[in-house]
Amino acid sequence: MFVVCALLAPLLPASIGYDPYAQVAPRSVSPPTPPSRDNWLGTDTLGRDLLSRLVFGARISLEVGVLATAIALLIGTALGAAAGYAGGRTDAFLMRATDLVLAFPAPLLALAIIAAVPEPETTPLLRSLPHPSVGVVFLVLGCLGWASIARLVRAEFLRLREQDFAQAAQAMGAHGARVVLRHLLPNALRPLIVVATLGIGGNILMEAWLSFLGVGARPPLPSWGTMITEGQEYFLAKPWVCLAPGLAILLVVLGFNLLGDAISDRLDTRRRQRVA
Amino acid sequence: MRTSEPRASLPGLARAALLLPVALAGMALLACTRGPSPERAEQVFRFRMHEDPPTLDPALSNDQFSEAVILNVHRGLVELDPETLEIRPAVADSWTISPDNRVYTFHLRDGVRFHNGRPVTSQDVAYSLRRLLKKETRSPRRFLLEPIEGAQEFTDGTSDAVRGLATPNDRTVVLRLAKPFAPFLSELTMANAAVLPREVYDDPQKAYLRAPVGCGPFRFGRWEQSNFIELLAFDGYYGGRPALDRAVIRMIENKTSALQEYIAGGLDSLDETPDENDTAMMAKVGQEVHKYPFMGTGYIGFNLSLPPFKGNAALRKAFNYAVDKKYLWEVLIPGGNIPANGIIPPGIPGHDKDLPGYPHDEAKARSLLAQAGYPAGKGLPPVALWVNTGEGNRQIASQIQADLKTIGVTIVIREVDWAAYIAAVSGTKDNAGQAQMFRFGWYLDYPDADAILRPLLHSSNWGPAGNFGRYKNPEFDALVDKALAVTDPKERAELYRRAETIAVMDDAVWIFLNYYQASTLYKPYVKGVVLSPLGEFRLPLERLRIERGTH
Amino acid sequence: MPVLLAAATIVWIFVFFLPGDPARLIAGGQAADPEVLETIRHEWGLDRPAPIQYMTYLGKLLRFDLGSSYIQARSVVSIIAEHFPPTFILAMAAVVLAAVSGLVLGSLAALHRGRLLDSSILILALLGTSMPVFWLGLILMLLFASRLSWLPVLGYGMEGAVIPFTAIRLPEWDHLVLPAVTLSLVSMGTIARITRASLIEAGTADFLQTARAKGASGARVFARHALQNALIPVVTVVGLDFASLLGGAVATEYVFAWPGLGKTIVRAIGLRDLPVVEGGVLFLTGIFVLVSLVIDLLYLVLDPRIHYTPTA
Repeated sequence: MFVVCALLAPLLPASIGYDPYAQVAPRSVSPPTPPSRDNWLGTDTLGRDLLSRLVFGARISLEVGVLATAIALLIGTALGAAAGYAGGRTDAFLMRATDLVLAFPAPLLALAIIAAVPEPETTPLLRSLPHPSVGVVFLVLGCLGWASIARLVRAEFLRLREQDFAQAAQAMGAHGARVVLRHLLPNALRPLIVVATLGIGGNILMEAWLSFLGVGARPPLPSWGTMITEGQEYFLAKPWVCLAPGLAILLVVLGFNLLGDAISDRLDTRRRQRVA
Repeated sequence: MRTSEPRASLPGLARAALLLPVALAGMALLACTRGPSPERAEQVFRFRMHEDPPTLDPALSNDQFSEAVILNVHRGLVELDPETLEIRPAVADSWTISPDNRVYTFHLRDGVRFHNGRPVTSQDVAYSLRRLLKKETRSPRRFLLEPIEGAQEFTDGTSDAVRGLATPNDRTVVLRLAKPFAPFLSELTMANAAVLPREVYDDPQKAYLRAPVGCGPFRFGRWEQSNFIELLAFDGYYGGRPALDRAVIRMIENKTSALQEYIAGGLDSLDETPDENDTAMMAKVGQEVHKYPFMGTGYIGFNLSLPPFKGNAALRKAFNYAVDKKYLWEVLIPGGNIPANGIIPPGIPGHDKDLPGYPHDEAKARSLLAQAGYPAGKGLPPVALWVNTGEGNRQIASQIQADLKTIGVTIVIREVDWAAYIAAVSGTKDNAGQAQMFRFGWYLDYPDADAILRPLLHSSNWGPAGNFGRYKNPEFDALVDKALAVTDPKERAELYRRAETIAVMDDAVWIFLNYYQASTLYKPYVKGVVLSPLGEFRLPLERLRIERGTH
Repeated sequence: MPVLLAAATIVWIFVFFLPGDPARLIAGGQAADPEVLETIRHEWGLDRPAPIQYMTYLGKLLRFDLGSSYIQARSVVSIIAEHFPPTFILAMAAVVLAAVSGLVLGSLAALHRGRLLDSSILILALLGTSMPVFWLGLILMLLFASRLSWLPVLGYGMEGAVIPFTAIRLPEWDHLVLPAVTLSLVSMGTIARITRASLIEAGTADFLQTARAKGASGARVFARHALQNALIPVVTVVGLDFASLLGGAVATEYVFAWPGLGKTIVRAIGLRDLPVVEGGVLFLTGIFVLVSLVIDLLYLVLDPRIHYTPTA
């Protein structure tokens, strides 16, 4: 439970009084400056308060993690459900498509696509988002990450479809969409939650990776990945600039992974109890 | 030579001339006496390059990394001494220039051989120059030979020969220019004008791209891409076999990794230096840091064809006053570049240390911004600043973003890879591109103000040809053109000073950011290092030796 | 095969619409004049209508011709041939390390289920998967190469042995250690957890108890029965990890200056060297398909209960 708390804490708005964009280090000292009473974690490469940026950066990183996973979940569930429920040719076609997406080297493809949008701020659709450069990242990650979810949903559906309640519902004349939404989907929801928690962690890491290669959130936005990348120049001299955001990622992703584990453990026991 | 990388790093290496005056003539070079004796430890020098050189074809070379290799493997008629910046004899050991400054006659040195053993003749020189001019070669540096009479007709294919190029005998090359052109000899010192053996470079399979052959001090060893390039001492080099047996160029992208490798001893030199405030590190390697100015200027270009900068000099001046160059280079990123007051860097005739420039002045910036029609930034939509991917660029751009924020101007940073960057910045002849502002650095190919004023600001290069800011001022053009035909150095410098004053003080064509200063690490046992104003990659490898003492 | 064709098509469409003018890049400079650009476009077929460019591309593909690099003036196949072996060796070493350590840790955890050792192994396993890999790499480099000087900082080395009859040069082995360990820590966690889960699923603990009661040695029973059961999901994970590492080792390749394929493709993306991007992505896709096939075949070997009946 404390893990969940750790997860939610950074979600709180930056309330410690510092603007993550203000250059607070004195103009006479070369940033990054070391931790001090005013700046608990010191300042970053531009003399901005590192803690404020870390707290604010949590939003950006979680925005990517959560929204990318949500998109993947949406697409994956829809396609997986369609394949699993409809079967036959639809199933075969959708599963080939899934295979295809799975076979692509997703990180490289994501990199190439994001590199192809040099001006997210003026691109329609992206323009209306609060952080266009972050928007393109989560959109792309979401659109590339649905395949394994589709597979999972399909497998669940195939299993559930044969079970009594679904058969009964169908026999009673309920039509397709109703069966899917009312009966099948709720039952497939639990494994999906596990996958989703794991996915959020994975997508946060992907954002960091993309930032490292220069296509993540754009300055001055402080995503954790961007902060590590900016800080790694100073890794030898002023390690805190790079270590702090790295540890933040570590803790949050670890948190999500543990959460996923915990949920799946509970599912297991329940399922077993039901069987018993 | 242009780059958008903020930190200095430059082209090729060269030369060995100090040791060998003219006396070498006739000497049997292959029987060189300075071969390694068995008991002597192998002399290896390892340095780092950010990435593989894009090409090793001298004609196609257009960047610092390519030149770093080419200028060690190849030699041209003349060369630029990286230390004194004098033009020195190379394959030609002497030359004469006619009184009307139009005819250059070069006498080839005796005993110059290619790495394959064949002696160099005037035919090879003619072949190499024609190759550079040929349309099919598609050299981005064809213009270097443009002043030669008949060059254009040859390139166009309307003439089979270059009218101004003649080889009266095996040892003489005569070049006739259409009109006098002061920097012509300087242009011949460039890597692109290297002398090449025809039998190697006529290969349709282009094997020479991976195994170049020249007549420079080092012959090409191995090249494993993204890993290393190995150069080996050439026993038959006309200047005498280099002291080094091998030079290894290691490709390492990541700066932090490279620094650790240098400290661990895997590199003998590094084009990056540690943070000056890192006392522990500076105690360890501080003695090995070498700083020296080199000929280059960094700036933020304004696109004068795009709003809001089009026809609004007050706005451009406001931006200039708002950016604190002193803080940028003395506090934020200390130890490297020098705050700039103009265009022509120190050391180049025409540099004006008394040019006022635009020292940081927030009040002036605000009033000029109001004068420009945007009081406190009101009414000015966000302005895009384009940079190419690279950590240093991001830090600089972010600082400029923050500085301009203080006078109420919003900057959006577009950080994109090189290809997207150059497309957005250069645009086409009819399309001004997308980049309202862009960060650029320019390294002068040779020590002449023309080598920066003309390519970047003369209207003949307007648009994608290099004048990306699309600056056009007839008065400026006239001064720069006039200087080319003038031979008195004092008078030339004065003309350049006047041209610079117009572009800086009247037109504020850029945000004038910095003059470059190289900052390079050399291990103490590396002797003979030349701190060249042409940058660390112009280090003449053949002058180096390793003196480790006893092992 | 249809998967590959579809992949080829998608990659082509995508690359076709990438902004940036390839002709300008081929020209080698930013300042090429329009006429030169025009000839280049013509020569490379960039001025032809899209469907024709596409058909040419497919036709070449059938002959395993991936085209030529815009920048390097040599074939994409030769570029892949140069950079794939280093990546392959790195991924292989990482996966072997990860599999061995993952199996051992996972088994230990399963055998001590619910106890302190179990939960510490689980946390440890998760740590590796929860870190940005380049960050981990930098820390390992600082620790083991810079501070302790046990291992080389970076690089592939210059003197590794050349595999006879090929142009492939092996890395110097000590240069391989740090990048391989960095990468392996990422997949080790997953493998350990899968091993643990499937051992528990297979009821290892009960197995062992029964077997011990019958007097058999614990280790033998464990190896013979339990581990064999666990192997199938582990093989799947290892195989897929391996395939994705081939493209996913990029950050590690950057940090350790490893001359790999992933890095080459990333650079090609930045330089708009489109044939290299196309060829590289397609090649990695093909490898992935191939590895999946091998995994399927391995099932047959590992579990006699599985039979493939030829359908369609």
